[in-house]
Amino acid sequence: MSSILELNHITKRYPGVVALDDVSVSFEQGEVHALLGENGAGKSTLIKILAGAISPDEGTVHMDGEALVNITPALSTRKGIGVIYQEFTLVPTLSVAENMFLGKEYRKGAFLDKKAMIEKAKEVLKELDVEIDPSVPVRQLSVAYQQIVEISKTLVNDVRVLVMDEPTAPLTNAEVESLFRLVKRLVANGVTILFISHRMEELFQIADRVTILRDGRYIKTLNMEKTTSGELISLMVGRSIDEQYPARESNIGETVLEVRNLCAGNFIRDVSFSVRAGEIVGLSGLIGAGRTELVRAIYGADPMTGGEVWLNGKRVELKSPAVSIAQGVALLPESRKEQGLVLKMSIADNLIMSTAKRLSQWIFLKKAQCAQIVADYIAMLRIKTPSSAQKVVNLSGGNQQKVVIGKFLAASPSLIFFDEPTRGIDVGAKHEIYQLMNKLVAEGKAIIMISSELPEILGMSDRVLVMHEGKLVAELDRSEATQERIMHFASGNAAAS
Amino acid sequence: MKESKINQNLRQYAISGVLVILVLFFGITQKSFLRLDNIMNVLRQISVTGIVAVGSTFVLLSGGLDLSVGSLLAVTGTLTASLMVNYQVAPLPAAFIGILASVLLGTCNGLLVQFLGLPPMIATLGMMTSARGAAYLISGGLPIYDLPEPLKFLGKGTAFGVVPVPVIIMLVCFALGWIVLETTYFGTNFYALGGNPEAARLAGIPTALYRVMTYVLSGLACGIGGIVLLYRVNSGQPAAAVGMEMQVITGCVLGGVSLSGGEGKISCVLIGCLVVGLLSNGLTIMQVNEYWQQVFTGLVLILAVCIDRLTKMQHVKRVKK
Repeated sequence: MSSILELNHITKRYPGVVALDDVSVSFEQGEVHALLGENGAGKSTLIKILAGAISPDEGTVHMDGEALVNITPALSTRKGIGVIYQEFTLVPTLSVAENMFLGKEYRKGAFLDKKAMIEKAKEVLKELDVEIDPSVPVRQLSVAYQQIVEISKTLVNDVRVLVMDEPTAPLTNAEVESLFRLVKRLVANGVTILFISHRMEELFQIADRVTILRDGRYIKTLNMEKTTSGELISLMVGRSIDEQYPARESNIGETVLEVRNLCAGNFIRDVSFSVRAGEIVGLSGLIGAGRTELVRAIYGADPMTGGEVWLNGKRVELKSPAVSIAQGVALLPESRKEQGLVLKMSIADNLIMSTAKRLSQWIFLKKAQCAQIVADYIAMLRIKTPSSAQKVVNLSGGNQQKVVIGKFLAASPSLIFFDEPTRGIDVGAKHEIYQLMNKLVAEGKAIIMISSELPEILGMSDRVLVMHEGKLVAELDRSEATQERIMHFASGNAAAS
Repeated sequence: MKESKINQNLRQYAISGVLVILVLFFGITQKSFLRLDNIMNVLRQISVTGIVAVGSTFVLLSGGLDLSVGSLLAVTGTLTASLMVNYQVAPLPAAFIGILASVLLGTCNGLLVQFLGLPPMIATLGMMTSARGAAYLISGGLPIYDLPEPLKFLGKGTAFGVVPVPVIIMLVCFALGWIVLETTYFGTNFYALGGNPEAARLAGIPTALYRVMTYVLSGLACGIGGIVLLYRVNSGQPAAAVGMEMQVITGCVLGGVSLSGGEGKISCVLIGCLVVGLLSNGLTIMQVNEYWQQVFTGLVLILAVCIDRLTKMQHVKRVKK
């Protein structure tokens, strides 16, 4: 085997964070090379560099020994690098063949050469040994077949390196099997596969080698045959939980929230747990495990299909966010821009969004009182802004997040869901948010925190709940929770550990 | 940061600048332009559009669109006229029923958009066509003349001898709209709904209610506008206010209301309507023919929105830096 693609000393910095820090790794021709790392380890940055979507600040990419400079998406494609992203890039209303040739249609003069495209599409699909009619609109296909179309799309160009980002996430077991057969066939033809997956057991089935990234740094490359999932997990999460999580004294009181046999959507099944006053409960699990769906159902943002919610010993029906807020429940949504903020509005208007009614006399807003409260929250949360009339779109991520937090704190909740409270914000603001959470539980509020960062879960939680595929699979006390154990349950291993 | 703030203000007040320039231009070049009776004339001409624009401001701010306004005006006018002339209903109850009909049709728009999930453009386009048909059915296809006296002052009267009553009604509507949007606790909710419906819902705002409410308000504004128009033209015209929706949208957009929702000041909408009215009046005085007037009005709209876009783009660039 010979090295086809080499990354040398790649560094990529974003404001406040180094996404890739001097990473060097080489990929052999005809291997399945897994990339492993937590969220934020730098995998997607690396893929984006290969795809030409972003360019590295330092370092070089060599293909067949030749340096690729200023990689653009077009150059990347021409060199035979194909990327299959987690989100499909298919146009649902167009046919399979039309999708495969989107942007690179065969032409006969000024006209499309449909016949040639259908022929080529058939040829590619036959090579993959799948039975899909190339003239069928993509939306009529199942997810698994859509993914095959995604793959065939890259095969239309002579692909030599194929990057697959979490390709198995949307697939059922049987579909994963057929995807793997397809991968093996590609490898046999000399294609190199970069395979990203959080599902450890899959890597042992399919990958030849694995490279572990952590916090943007290269950690190690191993032969899959010579490693164990235990070793991989500890390499992946290896860092110690240092002082970034401020200490607090737990002072746990009465049960605030009790959820019994909750079902929601298509796959949240039979979830039961409780949270007490003064407690931070961490909700862990892989992406897609149903954590966000669970809290949204409790909060009334999405309908529950079964089960009961009890607040302070009383059964409640939290039918809508409005009801929840009135009952003293608050949700910090997963994505602050899409769900948390009205970007076009001012800081002040965003902050009083949930509480305007309480700050008014008859129908009129008490402006002076509002201004006071807004000023108080800006000071308390240390939101950096020249004025409360500033539109939130102009704030940094950390300050935006503080506005969302301020918005629901103004409603004085007793139970707060934090969904990924520190995603995409810098270390300083993270620390402030942790301190704030400690202060809230010290005041006797109950907190449920969803986080994909294990150190954050371990650093902040009194108890950890682990979800896998819509079910609650483990409940771990602070003393017995370790990154390895959480990962073990989160990847769907049986309860016996 | 400072620059962007100036920029924001600039955008907000750009339309006032356009107004000042128009007034100066016509005022200097045309002697009769700045005469009190001509000013009042302009105000009277924009009064119905202005009243309707108050309702549409709510709809647009919340991210919706109401194309049916002209037809609702016609339904109100013909229904009220028909009740008075053909059924001898007293003017006041007749006007009330006319307005109520418009409110009900507006409510239908709201329900179709909110609960059946129809795109606002489709729902109100359907309403525009059907309600226009209804107006023709009510009037039997012909204008209804010989309205009784009592409420005629609504169209023809003046207060203090100079200010036309329709203008006063328009200003009252704008004042009410301003009070709701700027001073009540629920005013901001319309902006939140248009700016980010999901965030608004998660913040506990009953977004469904507010969305329906905007179309109800638009229906109410059309009802009031319909009565004013009825007495201004002194007859129930089934073909009244055809194309009104475009004038209203022009006024709102000139006033800085974003068609994607969430942005705009109702005070600027008044100025936007004034700009349209002044432009048409000034050009008429200059004896520019009507076809050229249309060309200019269209160009002013495009120009105003271009300025808005450009300042926004600059703004985005600066933020990204």
